[in-house]
This record gives sequence, C-alpha cells and structure tokens, in this order.
Amino acid sequence: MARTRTIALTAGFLGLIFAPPVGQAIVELREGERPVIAELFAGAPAEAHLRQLEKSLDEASSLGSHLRPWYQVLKHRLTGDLGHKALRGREGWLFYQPDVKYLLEPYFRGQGPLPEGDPVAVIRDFKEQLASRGIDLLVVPVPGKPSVLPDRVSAALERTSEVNGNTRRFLSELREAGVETVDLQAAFRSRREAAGDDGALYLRTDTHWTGEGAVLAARRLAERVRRYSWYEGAAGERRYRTREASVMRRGDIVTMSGVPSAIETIPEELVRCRQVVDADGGLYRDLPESPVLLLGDSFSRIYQSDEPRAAGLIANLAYELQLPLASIVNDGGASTLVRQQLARRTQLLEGKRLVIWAFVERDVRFGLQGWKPVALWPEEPQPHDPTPAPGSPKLASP
Amino acid sequence: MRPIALCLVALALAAPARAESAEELALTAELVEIPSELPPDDLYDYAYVMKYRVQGGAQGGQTLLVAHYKPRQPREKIEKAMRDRVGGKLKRFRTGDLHRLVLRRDLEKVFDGAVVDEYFAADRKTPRYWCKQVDPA
Repeated sequence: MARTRTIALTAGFLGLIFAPPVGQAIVELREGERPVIAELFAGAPAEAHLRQLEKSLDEASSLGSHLRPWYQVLKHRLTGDLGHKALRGREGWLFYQPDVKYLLEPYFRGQGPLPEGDPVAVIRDFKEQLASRGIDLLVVPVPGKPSVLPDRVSAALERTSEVNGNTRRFLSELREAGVETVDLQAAFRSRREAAGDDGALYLRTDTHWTGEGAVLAARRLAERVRRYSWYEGAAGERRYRTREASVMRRGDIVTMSGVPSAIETIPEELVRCRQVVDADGGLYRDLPESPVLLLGDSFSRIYQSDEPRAAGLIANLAYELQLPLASIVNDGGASTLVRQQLARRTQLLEGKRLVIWAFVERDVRFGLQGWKPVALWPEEPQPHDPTPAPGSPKLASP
Repeated sequence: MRPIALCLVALALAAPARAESAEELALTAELVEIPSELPPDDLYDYAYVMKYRVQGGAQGGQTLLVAHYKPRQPREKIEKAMRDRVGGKLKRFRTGDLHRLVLRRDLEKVFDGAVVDEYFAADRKTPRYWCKQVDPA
C-alpha cells in the first residue's frame, strides 16, 4: 500500500513537472510550429542561453496565457494588486513603477560602466552637431508624476518632499556641459503650491499630465524661446486662438496592467484641454519649414495627435509663440529613437534656428534603446566622440 | 479594332497590379537574426527590425531588413487598429525559422511610431521594409 502511494505521489509529482512542457510541445507541433523546448539543444547550456529559453517558454506557454488573466483578476480582487508595472498610491492615484524607481535609485553616474550610454555626453554631442549648422538646442526633462506629487505615492512623503535629486543633478551636469535647459519641475511645484491641492497637473490613473499640465509646460517653454534674438522676426502676425475641448481618457497605467477587472472597474477620467485653432477655425497643424523643431515623446503626443487633437504641448507652445512648429514625436523613444528618426530626415533641419528636445525624466535611466550617439550627418567629421571614458564624471564645457 | 480594344483592357487591368507590386513584395525568407532582446511593449508600441535571408527566386540569398510591429505578440493578437497594416498567423519570432512575408517598401508612410533598429549605426543605406503579413513557411 505504502509502495503504491509512493509510486502514485512520484508519478503525480513528475506529471506536474513534465505535463506543461510536454503539453506545450504537443500544442506547438499540432499548430505546425517547432517546439520552443527544442531550443534547449540549439546552443551550449550557458547561463544566458538557459535564461533566454526560460523566458521564451514563459512567453510561449498556452497554459500560462490561459491561466494568467484569471490569476490577475483573483489577485486584483483580493489585494488590489495591478501587476509589477503599476503602483497603487493614496486616494486612488496610480503610479508607473519605473517613474518611482527612477526617483529612488542612485544617480546613473558613479555606479560603474554605463551600458545604456551616457545621456549627458550624448546630449552634448547632439548640441554640437546642431551648433555646427547654427541651430540652438533646448533640453526639457519632463517631470514624472511622482516627482510633483510625492505625497500621493506614500503617506511617508510630504507634499514638499524633494524627491527629484537625480533630475536636478542631471540638469546641473547639462548646464555645466554648455547645454541650455528648461526646468519644468520648479514651475509644476510652484503651481501645486499655489493651487493648494494636486494642482490638476497629472491624470490620476495615467502616466501623463493633464491638459492644464501641457499648457503650463508650453507657457514655461515659451518664456525661454521668446528670449532668442531671432524670435521677434519669426513670430509675425497673430495666427492662433484657443477654445475649450474635453476628452474622456482611460489611464494607460490601468490598460497596461492588463487586469480585466481593473479595466472594468477603474473609471475613465474627464480631461479639460485647451485646443488651438487657426484663423479659419481649423485645428493647429505643424509646419515643416518652421524655425523651431520639437522632438518629443508621449508627453508631446497626448492631446495632440490623440483626442481631442491640437490640444497638447506642441499646439499650445505654437499658440504661446504664435508660431507654427515642426515636430517629431516618438512614444518612449525620445532618448535615441527620435534622433535616429531625425537623422533619416535631416532635410527637416533646413532653416531651423532651434531644436527643443523634451523627454520624460525617467528616460535618463530607462529610455527605450538607452542613449546611443547618433550622427546626423555621418559623412561629415563628428565634433567629438560622445563615448566618455568608463566611470569618468568629467564634462568639459565646449 | 478588336485587338486594340483588347490591348487597352489588358493595360487597364495591368495598371493596378503594377502599382501594388511597386509598393509590396511577397517572398519566403529565413529569419537569420534578431539582434537583441525584444524590449517590453506594455507601455509603448514599437516596430523592431530583424534580418532575413531570401530563399529562392530572383532575390535568393539577398539580405533584407524587416520591421515587425510588436513582435512579442502573436500576429493574430495585434490590436484592431493595426490589423490593416499587420497580419498573418505567425505566433513567435525565432531565428532559423522560414517565413512567408508580404512586405511594404514605404515603412515611414505605414508607421510613424518608434522603430527599434539595431542596425542603424552600422547601416543606414539598406532599405527597411514594413512587414504587412507573416506566416510560417
């Protein structure tokens, strides 16, 4: 009897271990695909290969993809958990984990080699390439939600807690390297102080700013742009006016959690925006020949090419300046990909006086594709090699 | 008179076919390289450039760079808004697999989002194709 039980238990245990991969292999063969487990024999059993295989098995698992949503719903209903990318703050505020992680982790420099590239060195190189054609560069790190609303992340933080030391140091290093910057953080914190509450600057369940946040950023940026000597000559007659527009938006933090019960129960938010129209009442449109080119990420896309359209950072900056802009917007890719996009279309830089480069502050650490040097005109000699010596914090001004 | 009319009809029918072939090409190719780990796609939608070697035909042996939209997802699970631009039955991308591809030459017109292109620094000249449809071969 004991022997039978031992055999049954052993068989059950082995079944638990082997049933999922064997079942998965059968499913894949029936669908005419090569089983993922066959990759085990495709390379030497080194750590990297085995980790990659583990990941592939996890992603390919039919059982996993069927069970995962049920597990997520159960976990969400029992604990309110929204998965590893979302952080539940106070009073219904949701935060994107990498936004918080960026604030909590030490500054990128001084932690050993920089496999993702050195943002300061790369930005300085970009500035020098533009300067060689007489174009100015203005760098604008956009504060993430927890930077401005730290007390909504945790009760342990005050509304005045200084949590963005990393961005302050980044801005300081950029200035030291001769790069012009605009500090939106100060403007956002001041607005919040003056408003006495959240300042209505960020969406509660989304990573982005509200329509009002976009307008405030546009005003702050316009203050700086108006001080360029060429601006007076470029602005010309008054060509834009604004009108109110609103949109219902489902927070991207909720959507990316992928938890069906959260998507059903967390309500959409009503966002009031300032929409920019031209003299004929048509929505604002970019002008590729503009003297100003804006490179941006999803903070430049929201309300602009998204609904209600022409109500985001770009249109509102154009309104403040009464000057149409050219723009390249690359969701999540404002560290490297947006410059690659520009390098494919360098004709867009003809006649430009200024490039404004706006990216969310967390991209300093977590930008898609890191910070790779990009030669805009590769056939020409480059100002200098943007790769710094390993661990070197020295940034000589040009 | 009749042969001329027939020629005109044939020309009229042939014109759209030429326009389509100028934009698209269909071929079978081996996926020879996925140059890095695919980045997460839960917050941002992106296309990712992979290297193929054409099998058979006049272009046999030629290397192609092809951008696949959200390659972590099975093609049949791509969101509705992109279905007119991305299709096929392929479930996952693995080097060494043979794919039947329908490609478009005008990547920048088809997709204006992020394109992760690891080949950019070394090779800007080779054209990048947009993959409209991919099936296992």
